[in-house]
Amino acid sequence: MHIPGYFEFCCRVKTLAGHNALESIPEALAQLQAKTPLILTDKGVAGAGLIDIVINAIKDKMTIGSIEDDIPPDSDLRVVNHLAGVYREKNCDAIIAVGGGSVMDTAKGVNIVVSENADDLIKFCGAGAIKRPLNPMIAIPTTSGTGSEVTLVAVIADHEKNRKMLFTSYFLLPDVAVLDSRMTLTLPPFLTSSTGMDAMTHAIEAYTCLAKNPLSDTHALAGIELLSQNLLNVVQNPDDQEGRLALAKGANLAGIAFSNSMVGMVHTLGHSIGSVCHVPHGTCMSILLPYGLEYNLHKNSEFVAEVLYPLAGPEIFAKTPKNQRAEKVIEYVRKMNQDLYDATGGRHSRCFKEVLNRDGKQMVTKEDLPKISKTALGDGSIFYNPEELDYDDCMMVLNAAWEGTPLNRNKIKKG
Amino acid sequence: MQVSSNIEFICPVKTNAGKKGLDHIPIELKALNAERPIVITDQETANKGLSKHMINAFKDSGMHFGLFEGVPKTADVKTIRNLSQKFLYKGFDAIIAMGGGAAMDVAKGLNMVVSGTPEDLKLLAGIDKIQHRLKPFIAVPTAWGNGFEITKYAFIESKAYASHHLMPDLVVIDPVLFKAPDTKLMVSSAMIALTHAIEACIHPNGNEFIDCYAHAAIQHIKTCFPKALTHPKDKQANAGIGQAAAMAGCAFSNVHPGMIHRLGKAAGTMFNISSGICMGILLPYGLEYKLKKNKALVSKLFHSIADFDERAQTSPGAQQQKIIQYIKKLQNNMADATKKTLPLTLQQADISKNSLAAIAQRAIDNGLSMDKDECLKVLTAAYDGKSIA
Amino acid sequence: MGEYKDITPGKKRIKRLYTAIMLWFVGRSIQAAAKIDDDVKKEFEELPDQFLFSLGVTPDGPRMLVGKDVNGRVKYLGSNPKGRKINVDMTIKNLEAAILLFTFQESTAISSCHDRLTVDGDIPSACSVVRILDMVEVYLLPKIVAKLAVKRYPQWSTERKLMGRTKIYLRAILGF
Repeated sequence: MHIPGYFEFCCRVKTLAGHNALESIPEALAQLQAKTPLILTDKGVAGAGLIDIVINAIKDKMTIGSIEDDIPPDSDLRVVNHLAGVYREKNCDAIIAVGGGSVMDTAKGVNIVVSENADDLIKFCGAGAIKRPLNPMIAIPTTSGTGSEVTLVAVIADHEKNRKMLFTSYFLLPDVAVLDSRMTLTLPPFLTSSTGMDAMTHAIEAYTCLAKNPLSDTHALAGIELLSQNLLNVVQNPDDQEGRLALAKGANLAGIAFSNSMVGMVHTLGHSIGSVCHVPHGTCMSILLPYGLEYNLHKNSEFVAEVLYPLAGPEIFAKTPKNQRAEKVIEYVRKMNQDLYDATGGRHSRCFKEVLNRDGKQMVTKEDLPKISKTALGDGSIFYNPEELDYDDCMMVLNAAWEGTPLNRNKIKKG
Repeated sequence: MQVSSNIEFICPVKTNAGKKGLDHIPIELKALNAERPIVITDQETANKGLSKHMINAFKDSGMHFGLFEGVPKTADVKTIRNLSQKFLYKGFDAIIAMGGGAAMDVAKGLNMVVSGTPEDLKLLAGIDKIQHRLKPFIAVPTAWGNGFEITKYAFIESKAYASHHLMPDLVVIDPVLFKAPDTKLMVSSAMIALTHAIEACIHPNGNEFIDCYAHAAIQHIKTCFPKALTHPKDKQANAGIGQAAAMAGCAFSNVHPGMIHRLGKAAGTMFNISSGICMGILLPYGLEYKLKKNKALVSKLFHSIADFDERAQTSPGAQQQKIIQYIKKLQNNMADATKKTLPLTLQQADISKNSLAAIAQRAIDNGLSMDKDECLKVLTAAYDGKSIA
Repeated sequence: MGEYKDITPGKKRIKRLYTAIMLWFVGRSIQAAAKIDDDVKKEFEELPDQFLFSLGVTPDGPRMLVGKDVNGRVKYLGSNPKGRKINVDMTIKNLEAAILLFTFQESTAISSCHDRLTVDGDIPSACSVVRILDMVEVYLLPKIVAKLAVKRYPQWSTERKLMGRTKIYLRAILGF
């Protein structure tokens, strides 16, 4: 076990998980002294019929203040203020957020406005500016990937002033995260695969990057095991409820792990490709994960080797000699990507040249790589990567990840 | 619909562990919207001169605090009443408890009173009676305790309280406070932590989230306990046991207390032995009993105790034996470190054979749901130091 | 309640003074490095006009400010943040954490992994600032210490390192 000289760990979110976990919401809200929730979601989630499931699970036991299902993917301050108005008008006393990152961020913003009675959110911007518990909030994720139901960060854009506001505070953690297999049951296979690998990346980076600690480690290992044992199977059998629940738990555990240990260069480069070329986050993560591991291997092979057990299971672990386990992890991740590629009929990309948009055009071209590298140098996650990463290093990794060829490990600068 | 298939987990405690952990307390208080804490501690902690570390941690922080060094050996209502008057009169806004079980219990009691009314100490006794968040509460273990410090439980005079709201917002484990340990107390604390963690892992209502805390606790015991036994002055190793106790407490707060805990606590209370020593004696026999009853628990428990290599190399059939061996080995380490003064059976602990039935009865009265004869099987095995018949 | 005391914890004067001197020296060294090292110069050029960053100990501990003036020149701007608009604010959570950092027991990266350092403001600029601090550390510290402070010790020519080191020390002490 690795015990760092000092660490902090915190996840105050109550977890409810199961095939009928939604039914526990009224009781959970009652414990939080709330009676009238405002349900927030987006059109995609509502269109998939997921809100109906939530409503059916709770409507007999409580009054729903309002259901607002038009949070746009690029939600901003205007949307937050509008929804805060609805919250007040309908006398709501809690928020139930159903969806992915954008919905969660918006819901957190609304909660700051209504709890602090804030007319200007900028006052609460930055690290630790929110100092009091906010009103009750329940988060229901609808993909098994981002882990945003357990993060203490919210990003809200202000399109009018052309700025992004970043909020971090333990009080931004939702009070309850509800993981219900019904919420992810209809997620299409290729989204299941990329969001699943997103979660896998959270867990593996959490376990192998600089800010790991004993508690983030146990969460990461548990997450890796659940995700690895179930991901391919669920992609092949989307109706597998047990598998869906396992993925949801795995993604949640991975989210808890990385929000306490931070992540490294897979995220550094992934965020940048996302912002420059708009490639979905999960796709970036699945492609880059083996490269991040390869790049840092001379610094953290001991930790990477340990990942083999939860990732590949006891037989492969026992069969692989100790000094080859770390390499085996990389090989195994590549094989997972290949298996997912096959299982999704090629929709799960293995390298960036394979990533196509709706019109069948390449989303990342070789000409984009310099700009991506430049952006990467300004991403905060670069601090937590075990090895230094400069512009040339980024270019080398990106070139390899674009082609889909393994890194030449002799070329990695070691200092 | 099987609502019972749903799982639940909560751990409201933030963990800050390691070098200079104390120095982070002022900024943590600020994040909890507090700036005027009262620090309460017991005579023993004060006598060891540990209060000065707390004072040092607040230097240059701009914060002032009140220091009370008179928590008695067990928590009492009178101390809580006096402190609550002080708290309200002086306008404090947070509680920091430094020390062992009594300091934590007084802090939890004080928190119920100052967050509500003096009557609350009567009204809130029992399970899950607290409806609201209490005031910010930081727990700073300095010594070995009863294993309930970082849990949802409080014991004040004859009353017991259980609520997640009683758990500290933050636990700080700083190695600087773990010096001059009393080996027997340390052993007791480690055994309580190990028992709590193991029983949480194999609990029928267990889940992956509980396991994360339990596994981390067990790994701390595995890494730090043997070292703390052979190097009693090693602060890191001793702090590791404190860390294990805190993590085990978080896991323990999410399940009902298990059989070994209940029997150990009953025996300890009745014969005035520290209950951790009793749990340590009972652990191999209790586990043997449980594993015999439910084979599915073997691999679960082995998972929690063994490292990856052991797990990959041990066949399922050999796991049970390895578990018991591991615990017995720990017991022998403990016996060596205490120069064989540590009892390894109930008999050696001077408990008479004909009182075993009374121990079983007491554990059952306290909430253990197990047949009395079955309890006796475990107790008898632990008395004789032999496998379960 | 005989065991009750009101505690006024006081200050750690020596640690405060040491940290203040280190911050002062690092601040002046950054100003010097921006003049004599091309890589440091380049990092600063990429930062916005009148960029200002601050590194200090909370609350009210020693602090340093470094910024670009209207002509784009990099200046050490003392220790008083009042009335200034700070783009990147790096805060060390307490004096003991600052001591760990400035006695090189913990590197900048480890310090932030240990949750002892918080960064507020524009993140890309903050990344530049960390790279600048790393380069300045390589100049100021002997290799054996600097190797612990940065993740990858750069392969600079001996000339660059030694000449640079001499110039920066001189300029930092003399203040030009």
